[in-house]
Amino acid sequence: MSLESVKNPFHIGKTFKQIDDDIMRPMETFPSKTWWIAFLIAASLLAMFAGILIYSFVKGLGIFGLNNPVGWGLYIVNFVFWVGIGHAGTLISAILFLFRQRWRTSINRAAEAMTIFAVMVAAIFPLIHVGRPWFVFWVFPYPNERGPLWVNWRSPLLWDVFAISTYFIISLQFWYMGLVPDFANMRDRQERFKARSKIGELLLTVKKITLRVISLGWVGSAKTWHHYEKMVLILSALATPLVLSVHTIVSFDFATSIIPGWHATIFPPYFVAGAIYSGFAMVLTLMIIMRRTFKLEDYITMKHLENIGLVILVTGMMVSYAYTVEFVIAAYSANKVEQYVFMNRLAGPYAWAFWTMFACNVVSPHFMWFKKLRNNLTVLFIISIVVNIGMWFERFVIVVTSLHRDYLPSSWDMYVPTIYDWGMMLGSFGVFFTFFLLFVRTLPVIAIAEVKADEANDSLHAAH
Amino acid sequence: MDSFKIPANINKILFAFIGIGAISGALGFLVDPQKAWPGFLSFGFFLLILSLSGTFFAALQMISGAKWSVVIRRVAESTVAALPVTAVFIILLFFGIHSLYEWSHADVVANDHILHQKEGYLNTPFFIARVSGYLVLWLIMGYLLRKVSISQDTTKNPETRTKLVKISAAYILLFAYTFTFASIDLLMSLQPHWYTTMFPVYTFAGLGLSGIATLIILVVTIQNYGGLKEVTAEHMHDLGKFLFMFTVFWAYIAFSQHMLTWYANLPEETYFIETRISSGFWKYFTIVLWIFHFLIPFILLLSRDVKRDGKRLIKIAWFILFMCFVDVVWLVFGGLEHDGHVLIPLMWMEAGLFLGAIGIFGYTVLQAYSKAAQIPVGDQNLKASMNFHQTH
Amino acid sequence: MPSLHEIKEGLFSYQESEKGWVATVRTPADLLAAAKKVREAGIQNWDCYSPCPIHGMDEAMGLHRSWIPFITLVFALLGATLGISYISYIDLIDWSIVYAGKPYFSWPAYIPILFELSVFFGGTATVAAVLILGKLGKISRKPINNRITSDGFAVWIGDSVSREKVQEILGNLAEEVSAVE
Repeated sequence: MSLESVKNPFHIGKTFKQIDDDIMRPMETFPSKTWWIAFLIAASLLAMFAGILIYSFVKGLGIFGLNNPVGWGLYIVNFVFWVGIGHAGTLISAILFLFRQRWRTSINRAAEAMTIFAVMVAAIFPLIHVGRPWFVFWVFPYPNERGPLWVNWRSPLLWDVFAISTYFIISLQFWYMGLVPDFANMRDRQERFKARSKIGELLLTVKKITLRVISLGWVGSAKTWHHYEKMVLILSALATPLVLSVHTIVSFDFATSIIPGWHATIFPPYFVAGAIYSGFAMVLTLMIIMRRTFKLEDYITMKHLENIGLVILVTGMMVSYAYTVEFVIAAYSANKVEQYVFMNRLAGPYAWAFWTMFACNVVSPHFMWFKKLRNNLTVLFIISIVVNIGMWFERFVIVVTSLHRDYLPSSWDMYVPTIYDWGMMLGSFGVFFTFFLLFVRTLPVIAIAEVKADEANDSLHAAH
Repeated sequence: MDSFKIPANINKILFAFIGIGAISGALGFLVDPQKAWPGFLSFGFFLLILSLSGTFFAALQMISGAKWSVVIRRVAESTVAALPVTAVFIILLFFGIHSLYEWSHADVVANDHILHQKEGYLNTPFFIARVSGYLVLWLIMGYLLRKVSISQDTTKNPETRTKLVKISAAYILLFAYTFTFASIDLLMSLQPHWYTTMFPVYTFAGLGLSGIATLIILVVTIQNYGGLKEVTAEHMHDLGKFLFMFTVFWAYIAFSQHMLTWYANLPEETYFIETRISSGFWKYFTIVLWIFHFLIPFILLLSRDVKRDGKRLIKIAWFILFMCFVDVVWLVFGGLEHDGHVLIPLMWMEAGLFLGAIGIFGYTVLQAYSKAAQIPVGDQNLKASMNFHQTH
Repeated sequence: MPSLHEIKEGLFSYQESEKGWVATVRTPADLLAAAKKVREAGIQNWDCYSPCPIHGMDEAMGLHRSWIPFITLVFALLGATLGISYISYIDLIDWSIVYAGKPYFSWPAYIPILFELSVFFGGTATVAAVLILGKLGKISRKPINNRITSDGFAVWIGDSVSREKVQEILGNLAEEVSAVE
């Protein structure tokens, strides 16, 4: 069946069969050498991560660079960074859906996978940061035998527990339900594969049974689609405020305090904008690599990448706006402490971090004003990396510069991350990429049914 | 395409509103000038956000490339017509600087260390210069956007859209910063010791919400008198969604600002919310504001049928618009004191001024709207907008 | 709110018996047209199959508006109610304690948690509702043919109707009509 092309820049114009074959190819061929190399690097970083983790359990948190004024170091920086990365996935699958942005369909599956892995990585950091991770289940408010001893409902750290776990579970449900029609599609094309050995036969049987189970007996009935589509709409409508609430609550961790540089009421929308900004940059990085290695240029077109570039431009300017408001209000406040914190950021011992952040976050997105640069893969790729470096430094600046000089000058100190801090940071990328690399080989990286729905819609309009 | 003919009875109603506004304003100044100035400031600021909101909406739709909203773009662009009159009122407000702003009193500033430090920014000549500057900029940009958009009606040149996108991007960027400073100058400096970083976002949320409410009211009213036939239930549905979204956004911003202030409880910050929620008149005022500004519209707008029905949507829009005005009154009056007593608004004067603002805004905007085509007939996306229907 | 009758209709509008006729069609547009014809013929026990949702199918098949939004709303409210009850019990009765100079019942601080709970309950209930209403989870179910989940479009009609009748209704829209046992 072929569909007539219509005037939609995101129309693909291939047969449904061709779409299946294109998107499933990475799952149905043996991984390439590049994939193996990437996977080995990621897995060894993951091993390093696990190694440092175990070492820190044995030795204690002393191996990290935390000290008395700077009680929150790279751990919290990484936590906020990874939670932020996750936000773009939900944004693409939910908010862009509500705003009827057609270009989301080709990228939402991979972006949602990114969300789930990023949230998983993020959750590890506070878990270790509590000091005694084996008691971490105490954060859940269940009736217990430790006297009547309950969690503090007024603590933003507890709100975080609720926000992150709700976010993870809802995202996972959303992602899985989106995969069900594609699982059914995979289930129904297994007959084409023949095993050549006994073990192969066994594996194939296991695969068939697994697909049968996880596709939930999906038969493509219109009556199921009818409810299913409503569910997508409702989950989008729920996930949109949810994703905003998650980073809002992360920002509450800082803003409910009275530390100058942390207590700013603009933090909630400012953090949300920053999260979208860094998340989209990460999506851009991943998409540029993915479309090239898996030959998905017909699905993830330059127009998609250009749109992501525009989102980066807009959210970058929102972040710049928040920086400006912080400085303007500090100047306006005539409050010595407030003014000192911001002067210290500009010209203090961590000024290098601030100016790195400034160059990456405030200056670099403006290249996206130019259509030529938005259509240049190299430029896009560099910008996407630069923005993520900038956003990492933004969290570093917020956490460290606000803490290292507090109200009591006698306790001022510098924070120097140790080799273990950096190892954990690098290792977290290993964890993330290990999961992501496994994902691209085992699940359809593009939501096939959704792409088909858009294509079918085009053909209906063309028929009019 | 015929332009819209303003029915005579609409003009009568609007003139009556202007009359009521003028009388209650004049009476207010006769009865109690101390309370009349803040009332007048509330009126001026409310009129300001109404006249800015349409241009902002049009620019936002332009840069996002939205197609559904093309049919209502001309209505949004017309709101700038209320800006010149608003500018006159804001200039009149300069005569009340001494009654409104503590920092304009030389003796107070001399004895107040904080105000003394802020003197370089908060002083009368610089204040007048800044506010005039914003007004000039908004007038130029708003009229430019409208003029370029109307020029497309006759030229039908598709390139105009590219030009409009550029003007819109520049407008939004300039608007974000100028409106931030305008809300600091006009409202935040009423309590000159107080500061918080969320405040400009809070006033912006009010602008967005009242802007969408205004747009719905204008569109449905014009339709009731035979205009804008191209607007269907599908467009109303999207406008309703926007109304819902901004209702939630306002609540989100308000909650974040107030909760963080309450939680940190810093002496230099917390009195903003404390004077408004701890006791007396303002406590009840605040509770009413939060319930009627957020909770009731939120519940009403959950329904899909309501959002698609212009007749019901316009009622909610009127209600929200009034609550946006109440919100401005809350911001202006809530922290004011006179001789150690909290200042309570005259109420009748503010109600009269609200009608006056509606009259002035409605009259000027409808006049401007009736001068050009009702919809941007030269826009290449018009057909897509007219055929628009909800896909989910 | 939907009436009880409507709820019942929405739940049990078709009894699935595998036996019947399956007519394959070529394109989404044909499927829409076919659905319209079957509906106009007044047939009760029938369904359409496609690899993707097709816009306008609900109207063509005359499906009731899904009442999943109500389930979401009810469970979201339930989540918030359970949450506030639990928190109130702990903070007011079981373990009243002053933290940070805040009152025993600090409602502004509870709002984030109540919001998360309502989203969690509402979202999970929505997914559960789709599993039940969409008849998912019965893994023995098989598609009418293997092309359905890839690129096939088909109408299925229960065996209360004869093959000739099916052909008459669909006319030349049907590519092929075959029996399902």
